[in-house]
Amino acid sequence: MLQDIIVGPQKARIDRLEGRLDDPAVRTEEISHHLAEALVLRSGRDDKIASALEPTIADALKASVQRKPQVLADALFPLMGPGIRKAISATIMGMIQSFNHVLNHSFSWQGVKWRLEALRTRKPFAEVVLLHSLVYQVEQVFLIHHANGLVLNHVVAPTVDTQDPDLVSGMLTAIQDFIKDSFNVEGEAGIDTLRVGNDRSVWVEQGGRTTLAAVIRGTPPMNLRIRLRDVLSRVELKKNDDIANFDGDTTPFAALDDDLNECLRYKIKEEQTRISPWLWLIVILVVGLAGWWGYRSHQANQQWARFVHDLRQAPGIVVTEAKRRGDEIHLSGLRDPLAADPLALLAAAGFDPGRAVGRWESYYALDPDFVLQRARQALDPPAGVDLRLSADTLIIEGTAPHAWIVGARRLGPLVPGIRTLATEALQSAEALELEAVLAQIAKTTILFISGTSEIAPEEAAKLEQTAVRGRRVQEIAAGLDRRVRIAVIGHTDATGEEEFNRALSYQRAEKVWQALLALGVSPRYLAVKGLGASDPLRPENTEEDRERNRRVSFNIIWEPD
Amino acid sequence: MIKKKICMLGAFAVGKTSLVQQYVHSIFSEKYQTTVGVKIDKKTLSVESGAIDLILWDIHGEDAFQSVRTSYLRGAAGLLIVVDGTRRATLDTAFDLKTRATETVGAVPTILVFNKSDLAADWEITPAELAQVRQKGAVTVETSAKTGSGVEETFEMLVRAMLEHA
Ligand SMILES: Nc1nc2c(ncn2[C@@H]2O[C@H](COP(=O)(O)OP(=O)(O)OP(=O)(O)O)[C@@H](O)[C@H]2O)c(=O)[nH]1
Ligand SMILES: [Mg+2]
Repeated sequence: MLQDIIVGPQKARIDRLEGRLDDPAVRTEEISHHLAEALVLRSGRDDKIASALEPTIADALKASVQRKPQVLADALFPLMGPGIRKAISATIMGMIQSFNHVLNHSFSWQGVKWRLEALRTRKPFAEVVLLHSLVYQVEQVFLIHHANGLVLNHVVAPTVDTQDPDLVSGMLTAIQDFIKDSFNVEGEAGIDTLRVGNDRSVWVEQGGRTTLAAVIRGTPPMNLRIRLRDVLSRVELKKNDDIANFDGDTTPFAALDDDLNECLRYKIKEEQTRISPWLWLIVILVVGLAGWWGYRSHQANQQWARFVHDLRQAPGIVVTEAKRRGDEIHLSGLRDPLAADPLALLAAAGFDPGRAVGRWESYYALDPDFVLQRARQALDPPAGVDLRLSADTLIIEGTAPHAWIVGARRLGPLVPGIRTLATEALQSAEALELEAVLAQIAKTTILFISGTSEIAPEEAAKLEQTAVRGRRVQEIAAGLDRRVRIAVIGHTDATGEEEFNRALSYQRAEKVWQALLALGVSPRYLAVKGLGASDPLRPENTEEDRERNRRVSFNIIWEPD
Repeated sequence: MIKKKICMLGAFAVGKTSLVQQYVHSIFSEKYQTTVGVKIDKKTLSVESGAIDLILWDIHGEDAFQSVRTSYLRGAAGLLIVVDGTRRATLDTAFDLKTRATETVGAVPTILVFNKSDLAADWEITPAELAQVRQKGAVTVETSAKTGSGVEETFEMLVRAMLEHA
């Protein structure tokens, strides 16, 4: 067929093409190759793709959030986390800063003035403080069209009071025009700074068709000028057509808010960010108090440690517990009744004994001092008696009444800490006296008339004194339970017969013996002996020697106990 | 927001300031305080197409010592040239100003305002002269800043002309 001949070769191609167009699988496959490029191409041309996809994407997001909120939360968290942290730290920093600021100025004379100003202007005090703490602040920025002085856009820093920007801009333009005319300024050059009042200025930046005017409070840095210029040229570039065709419609310029806001800069005085002297004062006070408290508590601890140490060292005290719980003091242990009073020690160490609770068990300390003191208390030695301790032996020295010695012998070994007594150097006062009295008696002689047993009359007093002494011996010896006899010994001179003399000497002794009995001396304490002339006092050469030898002498006889 | 600049022109003491005060603040004062330089006011007006901000430049009056700076006129979308009906000479000044203004801003909508209509009895300008002016193609109105008569209408008329002109 002719047709087949002419279109034959193409037929196969047409069939293939039809197949590609009809088979959805093939088409999907093909579209997938070019989809991304197609999207990019179309997005560059208009925003139809965005508007077409928007509802679908919104729905998809919604569905996803409803079903698996965690997925989206996880995806967003890295973004939101730092943001939230930053916001919180900024808030806290702001709080500290404004606290510091307010503190800085709360107590100064300036602070008072500013407080009045806050009252007058009905602004918060912190805001007034901030206002005065500014080195400079760009309060407002105007973007003004050259041709008619109309405001294209206007931004204001927060908390700044403003007049109607249109009026300000109009006046600004008029003033510029006036000055340009008055001083015959050529071209676009004109004023670039206006001063208003004490601390306000208007910086004017001239562009091709627009003017950027910044109302500034305080003293701005020169580089602000550069920023203004940058912003102005960027703005003019962005909105070139809108500015050229401007006939009163400001709508297109609303989009410039962000650019103009960049010019709303400010700086706070260094001095103001410095930490308030009051804050310093508070810090110093707190540190000082803490230091003082620390020093005090350290001191108190030292004091306490010293006290506990002293208490442990104190003789007669065994500490089992020494604690401080807050203000209360707990002490317990063993205490010798003779030991120092722990409460008195506590008071001496500077603590309040009223806050102390003590539990002390009594015990006898074997400390030598205590043993000796205890012995002293128990024995109550009279003056002249000395007590000493050698290990567990109590050494008693000196002279004491017999009765005391007897008691001491009995009580001594009972005193805790004493096992034996050493009384070698302890003498009985009575025994001493007894010996002394006996010695006196032994020195006495009674003289007789020659050849008789007649006591010489002048010897009466001596005889009487001997009787007194004899009675005393009697008394003491009874008390001491000693057995003693006073031997009354008669003597004669050498004249006469030995036999006679022996009898006479015995008679003379008997005579004295009877006289002593008569004077109250008990016969139990007397003995009688006659020695004749056998024991003369002195050799008989003279009559006086003979007279001396005619005598009665006394001798002491100790009988075994 | 649409903004339009309107300039008040005229000889001294014709009532430019008084007209603006009457229009913007609805007040009038017999006391004459001459304007030095420019005073700017603003009035927001509702028109069919929405709100419009009128920026009113009340320029000092033209007199022997001070002639109006045409730089003030730059960018004006409309002019009100004020004449004091009781003073003939102010009409001449008005014509002179119109010529000079046109050189600066071009043919923007302009209205010749014959003020102080409340003093009609003392007017030097006759109705015949008025008609003559109108014949020349000028738009004219009669106002009284004192009573407020014709004031609002004048501004609205100008705005309408400006919007059409644009
Ligand atoms: N009776 C009457 N007096 C008017 C009227 N308009 C203005 N005046 C008075 O005219 C005097 C001048 O008015 P202004 O509004 O100050 O005149 P101006 O054109 O602004 O004057 P310059 O600013 O000096 O150019 C004032 O004393 C006004 O009270 C009016 O419509 N009727
Ligand atoms: Mg005036």
